[in-house]
Amino acid sequence: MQDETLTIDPEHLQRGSSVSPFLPGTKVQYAWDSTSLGYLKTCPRLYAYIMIEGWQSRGDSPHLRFGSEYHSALQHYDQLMAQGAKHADAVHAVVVATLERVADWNPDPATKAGKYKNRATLLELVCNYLEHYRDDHAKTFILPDGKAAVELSFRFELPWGPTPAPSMEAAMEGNVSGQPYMLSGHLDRVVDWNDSLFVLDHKTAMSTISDYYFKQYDLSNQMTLYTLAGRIVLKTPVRGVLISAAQIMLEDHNRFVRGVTYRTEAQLDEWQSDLHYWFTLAETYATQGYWPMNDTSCDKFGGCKFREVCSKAPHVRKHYLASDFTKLEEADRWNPLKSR
Amino acid sequence: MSKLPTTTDDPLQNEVNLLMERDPLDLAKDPEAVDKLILFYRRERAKMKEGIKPLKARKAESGVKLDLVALGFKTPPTIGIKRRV
Repeated sequence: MQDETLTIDPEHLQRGSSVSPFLPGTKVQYAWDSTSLGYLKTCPRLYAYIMIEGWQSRGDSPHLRFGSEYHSALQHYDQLMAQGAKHADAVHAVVVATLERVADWNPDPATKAGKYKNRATLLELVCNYLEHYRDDHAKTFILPDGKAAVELSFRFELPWGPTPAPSMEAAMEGNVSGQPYMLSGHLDRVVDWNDSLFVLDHKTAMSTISDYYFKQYDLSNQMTLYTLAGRIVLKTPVRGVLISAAQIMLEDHNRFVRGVTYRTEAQLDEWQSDLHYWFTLAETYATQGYWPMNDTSCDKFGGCKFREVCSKAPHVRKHYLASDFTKLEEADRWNPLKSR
Repeated sequence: MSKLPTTTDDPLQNEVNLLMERDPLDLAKDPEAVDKLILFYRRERAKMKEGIKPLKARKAESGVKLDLVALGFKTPPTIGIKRRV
């Protein structure tokens, strides 16, 4: 199965496109990333609220913004170093760019999230990381074309697709071409670490980073897709993901710990086989226009943001959605085909 | 941004405290200021190897503390929710 899937050309390293991930005139999603797939697996209703209807919490989430800025800063550094910059110059450029990007960002310091994740803690964490890993043992992999394997947006087709033309309306709109399913995403960096290749992914945490912390990634949709994508993009046996975790400390030195999560060929094959079932389910929900609630997921990961909405009677939920969330225009919604 | 103590006996720390009060866009345009900020974070980080806590730890410990015994408590009162029986 693996071989069937891995017949990919360099077009996988895509940039800039943002066409719809849904088949024209339908709610059948054909282009998936780990985020949207994660929503579907967690709860079909959560998936529908975000991916189909476009609801987003009001206000900026400090967690999302902080993580995004942290990634951007470290990627900027990796790019500059790959271009031959000196460490000190690269750090300076990264701090300047970060200051410019976060100038308008003022998370509420009265909240726990805002206390841990704000401009000052971001700048400190970025500077600390770059100092801590100045002589990084994880060396950036150099692609066959001589470019450093940093900030790789990937996209590849699977050897099967959604059932064509789910409705007459869709057929009228031209959805008869047999569009295959696509997987897409973004790899921070691919590194050579202890003589093996790994995708490196950055994470930030407010709590202690222990073995238990890293174990959560052994069954992670995101890390499995990243490993698979690493193999496809590089055509080399990437063994898994090196998770570079940073613990933000308010009263002590920030901590940096790395852990590895491995994936075997058999595990990757199983994950792809399971995708058939998940995508079939997604198609069924989309064609029936109904995404059931998975009420065993509501309290996971600190509690679903739609928990308050789902706990209300069905006929009043739309009022709660409208008051607590913003409905994004289609162009602004999460889109797996939108490259960073 | 969170504020550090405004005046200390450490010149770099005092400078950084003032820098942190500035508009980030303005700060980004000042290469010397950016270098000072980086130097400060590097110096604070270096304290880890010597087993010294960073400045932010002292800041956290510098809050006003009540002398509960002087206020008449024989032992500090327990704060929390009493267990229901």
